[in-house]
Amino acid sequence: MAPAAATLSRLLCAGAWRRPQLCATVARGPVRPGCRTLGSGPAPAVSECEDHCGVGGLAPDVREQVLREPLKHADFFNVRELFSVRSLFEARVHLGHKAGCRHRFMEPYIFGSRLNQDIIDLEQTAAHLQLALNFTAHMAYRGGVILFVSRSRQFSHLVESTARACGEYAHTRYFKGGLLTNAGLLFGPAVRLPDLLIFLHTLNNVFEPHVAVRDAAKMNIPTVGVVDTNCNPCLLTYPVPGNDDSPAAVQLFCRLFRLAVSRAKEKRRQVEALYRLQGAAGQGAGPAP
Amino acid sequence: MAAPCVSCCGALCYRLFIGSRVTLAPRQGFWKTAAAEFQRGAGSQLLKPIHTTVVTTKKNVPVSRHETYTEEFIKKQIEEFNIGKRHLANMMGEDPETFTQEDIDHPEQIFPKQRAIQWGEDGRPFHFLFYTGKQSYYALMHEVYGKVLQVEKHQNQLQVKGVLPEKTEIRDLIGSRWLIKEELEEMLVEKLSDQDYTQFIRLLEKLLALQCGPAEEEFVQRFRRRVPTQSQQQLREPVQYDERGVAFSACEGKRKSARAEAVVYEQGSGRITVNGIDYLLYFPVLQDREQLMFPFHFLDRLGKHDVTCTVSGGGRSSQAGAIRLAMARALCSFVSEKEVEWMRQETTKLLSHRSLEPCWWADQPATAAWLWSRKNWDPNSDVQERADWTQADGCGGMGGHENVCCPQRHGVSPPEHRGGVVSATAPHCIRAHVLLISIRLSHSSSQRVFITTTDCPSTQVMGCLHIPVETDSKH
Repeated sequence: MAPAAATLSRLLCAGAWRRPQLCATVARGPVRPGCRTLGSGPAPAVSECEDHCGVGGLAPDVREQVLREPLKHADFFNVRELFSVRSLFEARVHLGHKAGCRHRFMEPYIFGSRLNQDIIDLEQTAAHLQLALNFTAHMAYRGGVILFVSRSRQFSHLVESTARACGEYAHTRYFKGGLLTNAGLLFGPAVRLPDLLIFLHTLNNVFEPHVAVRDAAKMNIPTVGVVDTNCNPCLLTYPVPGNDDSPAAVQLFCRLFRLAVSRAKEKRRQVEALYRLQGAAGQGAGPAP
Repeated sequence: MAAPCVSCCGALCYRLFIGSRVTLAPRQGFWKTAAAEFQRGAGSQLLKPIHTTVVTTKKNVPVSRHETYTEEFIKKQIEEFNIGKRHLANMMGEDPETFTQEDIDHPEQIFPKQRAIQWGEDGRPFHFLFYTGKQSYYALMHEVYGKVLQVEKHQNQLQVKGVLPEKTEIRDLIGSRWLIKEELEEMLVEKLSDQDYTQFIRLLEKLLALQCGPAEEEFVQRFRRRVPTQSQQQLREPVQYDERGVAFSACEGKRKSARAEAVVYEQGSGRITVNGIDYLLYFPVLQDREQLMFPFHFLDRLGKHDVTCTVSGGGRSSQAGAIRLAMARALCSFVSEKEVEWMRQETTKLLSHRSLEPCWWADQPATAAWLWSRKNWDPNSDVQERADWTQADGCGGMGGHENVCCPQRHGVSPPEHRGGVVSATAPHCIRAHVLLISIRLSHSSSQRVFITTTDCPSTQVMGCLHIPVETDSKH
């Protein structure tokens, strides 16, 4: 576990989070709470989307507490127990492509090569997966729109079913040009863009990087993606090195993301109910004595 | 105090004015800002001056591609329509309560179904495939593919157990057709491309090919439409009985100039008598006998009926065709309705008489060709009369005689706008090759040279020329 913890802390301190006090907490919320609309449009009156996630008479300060609650813990949703290195191995997540297909930027994540086939380092995968699942859970907790993206025809039905099962959205079809960058024209002026993109397959049908990876980076949308040894992990916020071609591996990833999202939503309901009860108890106790 | 009161009242009125306008346009962003300001400014802060945008006409908003009608607008139209309907009923002397509209257009038909706003108050879309752009179509594809997977899994399970059901042919597809692209678009309230439509139909056909259960069949039938029944119902001759009690049916048939009448007996061994002669002797050519065989072969009743027929007129092939038609019609009385329908659908002209189209173009004069010139071509112009297409001078001078001389100039448009005839060379110019078949040296004063056409399906003698030739007594 020591090397995993070391990589974890290294990853946490890397990148944009150069603030030491945040090393302990795992995730930070998005810059604008909730709604992500187009920058040029005026902020709608319902600027705090959590207003409507927790409608039912929650006062603003209570709402703030509800949102801040998960940030106090390192693994509030306990996503670590959803998988283990053993289960990843049994789902064949460690199998990569042949050495000729290897992408230069995937070399840090590759454990080695056996009979010319790359093997992915599952210790690193576990660490990255834990971060990714945790982030996904936090996004779902805060009522964010999660979009599952995949362009593999073999798993299109599975990904759409997964998205439907956890109450989120999926896009496994032809990705139209300005879907994220020109959404105002395509959908309507006040459309809400996804808050998180989860890529089960980072490449499209012609083995090129999916357009949505670049577009999400342009629109400041965080991305989680399963990257195989022939993919480019650069633009993804939370890359998860792993196999994306075996049915077992893809089913495992779908199951993990679905569980994370469902758990987070359930936790949100519980926490809100708890605070509502506390509030009622407090009011009841107030005028009584 | 007067001046501040006036300003306060003005501000108040202005605020109320804005408040009343808020409910009408919930979509526009700037109105929401005003609403928020109004709500927050309620109560004691009513008179607090807030700078809000004044109502103006939308100048900078891009023009929407197609008109959209809001729900309220359509509801209002429906209410007005109902009131008008009652007035009309009163005027017509009918009872307003039970007045049904037969010929009045209902607002739902004039204003087509539009999509309501696709997301809730928090901005989250309702449909899980919203971000694909074509949510209904892809949801349908997802559903159908799910059914395909289910059926395949079920079949695999049955195969493992070793209990595969026999293949049952589906005849229900005969009287129906697949939904066309426009109907599908209407059903989904979404624009589709041709490839989308083709993929969808292919997926449904794949589902059908997998021998699905009754639930899936019913699902697929939702996407099929009945083909309108033909107005001409096949008349079935009543079955008659001769003196020996054997059932028979008699019918007539014709082809070209041959007329035939066939009597088909229900019991028999496949003997056919034509004009008292056995068919093998009457039709030595195999092709004619195959024509006679076809109706029985199609219904799998080859050796089961006896036929007696009389035929006159025409040539050998047309007599065979006439007898075939007569036999097919007579057979209808021994066969079920479904099979009759099947005969009509699956075969061409087995039960109906078709005749050759008369050669109407022989009387038409030759028309001049249309000429295209790149110099006068303007791809961006929308004008009906295009300058790049001109007619050659052959017909130009006879502009006065419209109907007789140039029937194709009615529209005065270049060829592609007419019914598909691109080249305007007269179709009646059949090239005739003069074939010298034989020149018989005879003692007659003229020779006969036969002219035939190679363009006609059967070599027919079109005519003959008499050429006077000097005969020498020596040869």
